[in-house]
Amino acid sequence: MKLFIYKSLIVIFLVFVLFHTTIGYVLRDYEGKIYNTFDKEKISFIREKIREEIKDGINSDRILSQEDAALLNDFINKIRSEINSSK
Amino acid sequence: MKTLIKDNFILILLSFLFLILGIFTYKDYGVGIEEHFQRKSGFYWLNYLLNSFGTETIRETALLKYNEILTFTPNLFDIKIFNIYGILFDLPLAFLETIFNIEEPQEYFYLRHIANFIIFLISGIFLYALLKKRFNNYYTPLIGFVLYILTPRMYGNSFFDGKDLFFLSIFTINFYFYFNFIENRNYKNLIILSLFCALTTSTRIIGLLFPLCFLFLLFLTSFTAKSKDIIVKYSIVFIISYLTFLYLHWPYLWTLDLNGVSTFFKPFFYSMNPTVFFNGEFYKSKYLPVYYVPLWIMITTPIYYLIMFFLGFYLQFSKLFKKIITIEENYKIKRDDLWSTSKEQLDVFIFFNFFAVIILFLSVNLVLISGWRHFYFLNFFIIYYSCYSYDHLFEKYKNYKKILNSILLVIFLLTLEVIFKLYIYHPHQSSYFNNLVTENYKKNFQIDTQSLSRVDAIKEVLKDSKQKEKIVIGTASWTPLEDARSMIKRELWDKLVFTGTSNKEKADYIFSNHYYEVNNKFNKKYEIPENFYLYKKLVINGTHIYSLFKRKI
Repeated sequence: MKLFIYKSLIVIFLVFVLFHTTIGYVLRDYEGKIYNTFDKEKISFIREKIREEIKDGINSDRILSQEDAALLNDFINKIRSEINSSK
Repeated sequence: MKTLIKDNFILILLSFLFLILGIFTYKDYGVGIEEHFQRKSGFYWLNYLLNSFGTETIRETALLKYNEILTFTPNLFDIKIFNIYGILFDLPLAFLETIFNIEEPQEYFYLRHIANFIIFLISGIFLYALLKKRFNNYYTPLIGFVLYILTPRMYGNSFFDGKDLFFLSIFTINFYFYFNFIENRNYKNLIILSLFCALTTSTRIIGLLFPLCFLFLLFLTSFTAKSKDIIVKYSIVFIISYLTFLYLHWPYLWTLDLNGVSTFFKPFFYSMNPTVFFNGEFYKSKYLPVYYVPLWIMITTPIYYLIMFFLGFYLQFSKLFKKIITIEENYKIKRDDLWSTSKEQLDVFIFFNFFAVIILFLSVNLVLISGWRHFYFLNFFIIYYSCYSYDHLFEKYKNYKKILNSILLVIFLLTLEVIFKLYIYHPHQSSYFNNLVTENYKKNFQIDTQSLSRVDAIKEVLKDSKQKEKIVIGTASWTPLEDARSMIKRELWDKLVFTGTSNKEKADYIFSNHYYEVNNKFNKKYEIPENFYLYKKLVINGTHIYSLFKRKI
C-alpha cells in the first residue's frame, strides 16, 4: 500500500512536470504570444496610425503618383469590362 | 547565559554591527511604493478594532490619522475591498504611531523602516539558530547568517518593503519552529508552529504551502510511525489551532461570508494586468514568459550564491532520490522512508516546500510585476542550499586545514565584493544586478519598480529651486510622485505642486524612473516634451535609477 502511494505520487509528479515542460509550455508560450501581440495598446496604436495616414493623404496634393493612378485605372477598367462581359 | 554568549560571540558581534549599520543608514531610504497603502491598511484595521476595545483618546487619534490618510492619499485602494492583506506588520506599527502620537510623516515612515529591518535581522538570527542545529560545522551557520542579511536586494528592501521582505522574515522564522517541533514533538511546540504557519499564511497567501507541506509530511510519517493515533492527533490539533490563529488575526476571514468562501482565492489573483518591460520586450503581466522569475533571480543574486545554491540543491536532490529508490514495504530496522534523523527530515521538508512553490509557479498563471519581489521568500532556499554546499565542502576537507582555510578566504573575499556593491548601490540596493549583467543588458529591465528614487529626486529639485516660491513637478512614469512628500519636511509641502502625468510641458521639472505600465513604443503618455532637457540622471554601477528633466528657459 505504502509503495503504491509513493509510486502514484512520483508518477503524478512526473506527468505534471512532463506536461508543463512540453505541451503546457508550448500552450503558455503561444497564449502569451497571442495576447502580447494583439494587446489593446498596439491595436489602438495601429488604428491611430491608419487614421493619421488617411488624414495626411487627404491633406496632401496627391495620394497616388501619376504612374500608379494610370496603372490602377487600367486595372479597374479591365476588371469592370470582365464583369460586364459575364452578364 | 555566559556559555550562550561565548558560543555565539561572533553572531552577537555581527548582529550588533548590522544593527548599528541599519540605525545609521535607515534614514537614507526613500518611501516604497506599497508603504502608504500598508499604513492605510494598518490604520483602517486599528480603527476597526478600537471601535470595540480602545480608549477614547487612542480611538480619536487613530481616527484622525486615518482621515488624514484619506485626504492626503485619496487614490489608494479601498481597504474594505482590498482586505486580503495581513495586518501583522501594519497594525502594530499603526498602534505604535498612535500611542506615541507621531505626527511628522518622516518619523512614522522611519519607524516602519527600522522596525522592518530589525525584524529582518531577527529572522537572520533564527536562520542562524536553525543552521546551527542542522549543521555541525562552526562556520556554516555564520556564513548562512551573513549571506542572508547581505543578499543585496533583500538588504535594500528590508528597510521599506513591509510585504515581501516581511514575508521572507516570517517564512524563515517558521522553518526554525518546524525544526523545533520535529526535534521535540509535543503539543506546545506544535501550537507555536501552527501560530507561525498562520502568520505566514496571512502575510502572503503563498505561505499556505507551508502548513500543507507540514500536513503532507505528517501523512508520510504515518507510514512508518509506531502509533498512527499520535499522527492523527497532531494533525487535528495542528489544523484546529492553525485555523483559530488564522481567524484571530486575519481581517480577510472576519469579513468573509458564505459566498466568499467558495471564491476564497479569487481576490488574490486580482490584477490590473499592466504591461511589463522584461528582457527587452513588452509583455502583459498575465502573460509573462515562464522564465520570468528564474531569469530575475539569475541576474540579481550574487553569482557565488547561485553556484553554491545549485550545488546544494543537486546534493540534496541526489540524496533524496537515493532514499526514494530504496523505500521498502517493510524494513528490517525501524526507520522512516525519506529520512533517518530529524536533520534529514528538515531537509526533506525544505525540499518539499521548494518543490511546492515550483509546482504552483508552473501550474498557476501568476500575475507578476516589479521583478521577482513577490518571490523574495525564495531567498531562504537559496541561502539554505548554499549552506548545504558549504557544509558539504567543510565536511569533505575537514582534515585538510590549508584547503579549508582557502575556502574560507575565498568566501570572505567574495562577501567583501558584495559588501562593496552594497556600499556603492546605497540606498538603492533593491536595484542590484550581479556581475554577469552588462550595462547594456540592464537596459532591458525595469529598475526602480518600488519607486524608491522619488524622494531623492524631489530633494534634488528643492536643492535646485531654493529661490522659487512654487515648483511644479510632472511625472513621466508609473509612479505616484506626490506620495514622496511624506519624506520631505512639512513646511516645504506648499512649495511643491505635483501635476502627475498630464500637462507635463507646463511643469518646471519632470521626474521619471522609467517604470511604465504601458508599452512606451506605442503609448506616448510618458514622452518627455521637447521644451525639457535632461537635468540629472542617477546611474549606479551602470544601473539607470532615475532621470530628472528641467524645462528650458
